[in-house]
Amino acid sequence: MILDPLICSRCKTRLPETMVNLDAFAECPSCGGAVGVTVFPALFHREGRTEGRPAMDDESTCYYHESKRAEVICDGCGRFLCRLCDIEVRGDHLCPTCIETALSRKSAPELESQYTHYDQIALTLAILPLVILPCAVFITSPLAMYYAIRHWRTPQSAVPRRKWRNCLALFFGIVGLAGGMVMAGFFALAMSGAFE
Amino acid sequence: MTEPASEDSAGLTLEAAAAPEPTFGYRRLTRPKRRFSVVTAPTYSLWDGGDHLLQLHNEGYRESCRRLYYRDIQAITCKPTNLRRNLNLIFSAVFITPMLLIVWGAALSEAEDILSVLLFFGVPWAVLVLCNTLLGPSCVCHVHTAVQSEELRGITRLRVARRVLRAVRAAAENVQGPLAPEDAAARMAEWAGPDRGAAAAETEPVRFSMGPFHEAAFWALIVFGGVHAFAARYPEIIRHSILIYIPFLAVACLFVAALIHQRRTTIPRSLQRFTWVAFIFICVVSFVFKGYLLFPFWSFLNPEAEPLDALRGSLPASADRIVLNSISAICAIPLGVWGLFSVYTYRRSASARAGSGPEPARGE
Repeated sequence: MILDPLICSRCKTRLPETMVNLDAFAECPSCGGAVGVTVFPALFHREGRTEGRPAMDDESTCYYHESKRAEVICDGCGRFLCRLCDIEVRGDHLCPTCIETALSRKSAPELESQYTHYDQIALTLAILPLVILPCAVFITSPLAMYYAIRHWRTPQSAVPRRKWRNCLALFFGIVGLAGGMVMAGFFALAMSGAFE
Repeated sequence: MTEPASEDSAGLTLEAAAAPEPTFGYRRLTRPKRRFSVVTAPTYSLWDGGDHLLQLHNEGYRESCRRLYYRDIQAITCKPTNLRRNLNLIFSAVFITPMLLIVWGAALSEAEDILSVLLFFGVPWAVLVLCNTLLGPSCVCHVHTAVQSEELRGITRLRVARRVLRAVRAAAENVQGPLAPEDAAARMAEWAGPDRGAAAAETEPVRFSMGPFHEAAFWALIVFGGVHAFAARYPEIIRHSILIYIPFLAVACLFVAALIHQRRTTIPRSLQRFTWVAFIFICVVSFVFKGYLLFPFWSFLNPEAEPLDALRGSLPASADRIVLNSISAICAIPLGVWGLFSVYTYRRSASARAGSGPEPARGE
């Protein structure tokens, strides 16, 4: 849903046009709340990207729209693209097919929009059993270590993410496994009567 | 324009495919902000990615991101909300109501350790309200593009909004170029013409109202206070609080009608807010101090008592009743008088505007 930028969200009255692009926040004339509205030249651009120019007889046409004139070449596959099919990503001009392929292969981090925090999963698996259910440490500790090592280099966020969770998960995984083995050995000896 | 790839015809260039790690830098704009929903409590944060604004949404072990390129941003808005006020009301309802109930019950049973109850409920309430107030006014920010209006959910306070929007504005102006206030106002007036103003505006039609329900409600509030004053002066005449329940019900119904009626009308915001204040006052005084909620509490303490005895027993003693009725009268009558004054002042100004010309409708 596209909202009107000149409507106050508290009192729903229309703000005067003189309140835009001020250096400081102004007061809504109706409710007195602080309001800041900044508009940019893109708001007033009439020319859109939804139309491609029709191709003349001697001009190259778009690979996906045969009646549209080719404007650029796809930097991924080399196909001719019209204005509608051209998707600009970090200075590269790509077609929708290349975009989809890059997303499926996870080879375009600037296009990714979903990530899984494997380091957090590993840390939870490593710490939680030590607190709640110690006997499950033989299952969760190896799992935590597997996640920490297997996904050490996997991109887990759009922004840089430190590895301390992986390191902690490895540490607690080793400690949990070692502690579990020690306790298991202790109980085995106790059951066999070694301490009598 | 770069050379088209020849080795990999179905994806990006091989150099990009071999380096899955993000190579561009991000600058943090906001700390993760937690927003509470029914089941989960996701966090939101904002980052500056050079040529775009990145909004991260973390929920559990999943993260999703939304990129808003500066070249596509048409407008950024920051508008006030009532979040700070609503949070203070919620904190007060959660902590003050049980505290008053327990204190009243302790007073009835002549318990001595009331101070600990006051501290147990009062200190957390004071801390929460103080922190919420010191965080500053609340707001909501939106980034508008040609196809969406994206709320920046990582910003809920005006102090943070000023800092973040200054950075976003600078980045967007760096890409698109600045727009002077005078030029922006002129182009906005042209852009928001009659057609777009009528089609894109969120405002609903505003009705003209002279506040008939408000007048009746404030008159009823004065009568309500008068009855309480009479009950305080002559307690032996009004023995049963049922005789005060009836004026309370009438006042409550009229205020509810006024609150429903005042939505989307020309009644001033100050009068609308005052109506809410008066309504909350009635609820607090009548429900908390009149023992309506003490009945189940008293019944719990005296399970062997008959229901009618329990109802009579849960009411405060006669001396306390005189004090409470006096307090109710002292508060209700001035509130009613001030409310009537506000209504008549509004009517006078509305009549004067009607006499001078057609009243400009809101939203235009």
